[in-house]
Amino acid sequence: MKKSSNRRKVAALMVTLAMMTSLLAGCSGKETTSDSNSSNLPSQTPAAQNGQQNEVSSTESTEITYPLQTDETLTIALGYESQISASYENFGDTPYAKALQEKTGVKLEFQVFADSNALNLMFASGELPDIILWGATGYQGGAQKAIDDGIIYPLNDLIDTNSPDLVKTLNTDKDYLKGSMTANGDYIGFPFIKGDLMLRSTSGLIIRDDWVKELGIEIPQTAEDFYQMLKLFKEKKGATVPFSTTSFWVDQLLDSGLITSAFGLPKATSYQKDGKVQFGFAQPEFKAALEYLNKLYTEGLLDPNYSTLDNDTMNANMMNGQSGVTVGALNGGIGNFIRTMKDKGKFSVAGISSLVANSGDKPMAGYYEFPITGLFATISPSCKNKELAAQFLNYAYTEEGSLLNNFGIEGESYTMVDNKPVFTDMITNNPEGLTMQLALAPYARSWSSGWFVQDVEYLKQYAALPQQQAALQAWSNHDGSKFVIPPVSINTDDASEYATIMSDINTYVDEMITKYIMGVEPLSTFDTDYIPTLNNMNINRAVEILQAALDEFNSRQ
Amino acid sequence: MKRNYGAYLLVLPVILYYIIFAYKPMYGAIIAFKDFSPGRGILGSHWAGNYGFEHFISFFNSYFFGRTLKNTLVISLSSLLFSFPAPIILALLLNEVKNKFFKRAVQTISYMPHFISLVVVCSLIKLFTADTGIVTYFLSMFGYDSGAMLSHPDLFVPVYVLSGIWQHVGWDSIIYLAALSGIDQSLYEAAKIDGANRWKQMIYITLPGISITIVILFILAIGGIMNVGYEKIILLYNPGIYETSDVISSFVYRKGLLESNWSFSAAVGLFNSVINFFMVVVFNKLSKKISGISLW
Repeated sequence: MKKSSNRRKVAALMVTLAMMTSLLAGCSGKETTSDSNSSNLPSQTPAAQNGQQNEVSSTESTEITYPLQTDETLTIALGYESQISASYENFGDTPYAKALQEKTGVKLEFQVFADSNALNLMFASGELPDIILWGATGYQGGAQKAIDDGIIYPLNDLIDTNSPDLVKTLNTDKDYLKGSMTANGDYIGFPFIKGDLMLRSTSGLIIRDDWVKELGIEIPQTAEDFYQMLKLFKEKKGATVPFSTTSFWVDQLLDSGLITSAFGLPKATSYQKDGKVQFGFAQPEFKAALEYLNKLYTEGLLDPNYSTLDNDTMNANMMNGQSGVTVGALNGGIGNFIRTMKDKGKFSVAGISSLVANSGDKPMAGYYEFPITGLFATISPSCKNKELAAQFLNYAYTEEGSLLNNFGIEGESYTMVDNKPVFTDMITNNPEGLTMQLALAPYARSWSSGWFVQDVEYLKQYAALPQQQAALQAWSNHDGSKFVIPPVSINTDDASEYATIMSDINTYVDEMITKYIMGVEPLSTFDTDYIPTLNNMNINRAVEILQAALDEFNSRQ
Repeated sequence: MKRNYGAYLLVLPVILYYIIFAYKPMYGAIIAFKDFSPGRGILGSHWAGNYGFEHFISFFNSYFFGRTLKNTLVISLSSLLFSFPAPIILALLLNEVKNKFFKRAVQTISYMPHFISLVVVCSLIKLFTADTGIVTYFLSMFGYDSGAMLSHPDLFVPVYVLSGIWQHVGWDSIIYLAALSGIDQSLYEAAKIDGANRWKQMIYITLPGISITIVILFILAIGGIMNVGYEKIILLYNPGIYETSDVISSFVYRKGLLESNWSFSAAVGLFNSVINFFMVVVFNKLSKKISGISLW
């Protein structure tokens, strides 16, 4: 008898150990929050905050005067940025954060989450800061699901009285308003808005145009020209990996159509054509694009290590002449290359448009973002003073707040010249030799993102190099805006089905793209194996769900 | 109880440790049967469909179920086959070395990778196996010429297992060395007098001397057979080699942390744990029958 009870004890212990080691998600242990939070769920208690609301609306209903009179502290969580940590240990120590608190009169406590894993862990823990700046529409199941899950408190009962400037901003453009709401008509939060077309196409293909000139060829337009150029780079310019890139950027170049455009496909991901939703990776045209990339790969033109390469190596390849083509952004790419290589011999880069089938064509698509990017500063259901949070966040959409976010602090990072903000020398020509991005990072948010309307004036000065201006022209020369799917919201019933289908499909497609490019899997299986598998994985149902969401979005007034 | 209160007091912290860190979190496992939503909390979340088994069913029906299960078993069985004997062999070899300085030097060097952060180790592995890496270069002398090793599905398991041996062989041999030092030296003297050579001494004295340690560690290793650590996998794999590298724990990681599908990944994790537990029980029984050695 005694022996068997001992056995049971040990057995119990073993179960525990075995479970402990693999229960990744089960270890929240924050069950205490469940009761207090559930009463805060928006759907259940719209009246909970009414008492306070009346107080605020009586002081001011159409305009809010800053600084606000309060001694409360708000907690804000935002993503980690190496550009900030390069010079400041805490986000709260930056001149921007100090100015924001001074101007709004609200004391802030900043929390920085390292990446989306950390953010998801924070969600799972149930302990949320008052305000979170994050890609709310990218939440699994969409923003509506995040509201239902108790992560976002919708602004509907706050927005009119507490955020008049946000309302004004959203009313200036139909897309702004539509993009900031869910299918149920809930306001998600305070959006990051790209206020001008030029701001929406800031990445693309980058080539060594000095090499092109020396070789006596034209800047490539077609896929064939591009291929010939890469070959020449390899043969004549000693580029060991002519086209250097990382898996992140390969995804980007496929998703934005930089190469697929030449094969009659606007994007490798979801897009709309004449109002019909399609997935690029399931179209017959995609095969041709993959064949092309596979050719580049097998001939040693595309980086053989791309699937394991990191950004630093990619940039180094470009700057030490091992590569002549890459994919990159306006400042992190072109600006970075030119400033670093300024006094180091002959080096010049240029941005080129997406590839086309026949020279002279206008590229189908390129890098393009919807003006409402999906990034929002959202208020948490657990926030004690939601009115204050809404009033505080509203500041960024005032004229003064826009200046702070786009240009920083007057007299330090910018000065007013003829009533126009102009970056000071400290930003454009930093005495300590910092790049513009690093110099501006502690003072403003325009270089990255936040909750405000990004002003095109900033970009004109920020990307002031002639090469950057030329690249902007080249990269925005396409019809990508026709194909982009706006931040639609999938209704709650379908959300988890869509998420389940797409999760498997994305894993499978990611894998197959890599295999096809590397030639591990022959492209002959594209029609016989790949497409049937996608059908088996129920891609048609995913199209159907996304189509319904798009129709709903288009029907919004 | 009264008589031994000192002993109970001593064991109290350990019991508390298990209650707080092992038993209490087990309660969180119920989210595997729920549609967990952080706003509602563990108790407030709704039960999942199909009597709570929705997530298990959708895992078994998933396109990747068979593959992740197969990869998990392949990787852990080949680890068991190759990584388990390695430290025993190293310990036996070291035991025969008479030069103390040499012995210490080998031990120190072979421990080293164990103390390096896994992230760094994996960057090293990636560098060594890139198309210009030292391992790739070495293999190219034998005719290998297909670029980065980690872009070939076939090479993932060998890279994973061999680098695992490199990482752990030194550290894991410590326990065997300890067991070896416990063998009575007079047995060796007696054997020498009887004319046994070194090989015979090893077969008839050394190995039987550490056999209990070996069996116990083997049973424990069997218990971890479904536990291929996700950390090393996700640091090494890329979509191109999911085919052979995506295991249950990395699948759980992607589902749970990257796609915030907590309940689903909890269900997969729980399934994994149950199999592990089952394996321990079965092998413990077997070992008891065969060798009389068991955990309980």
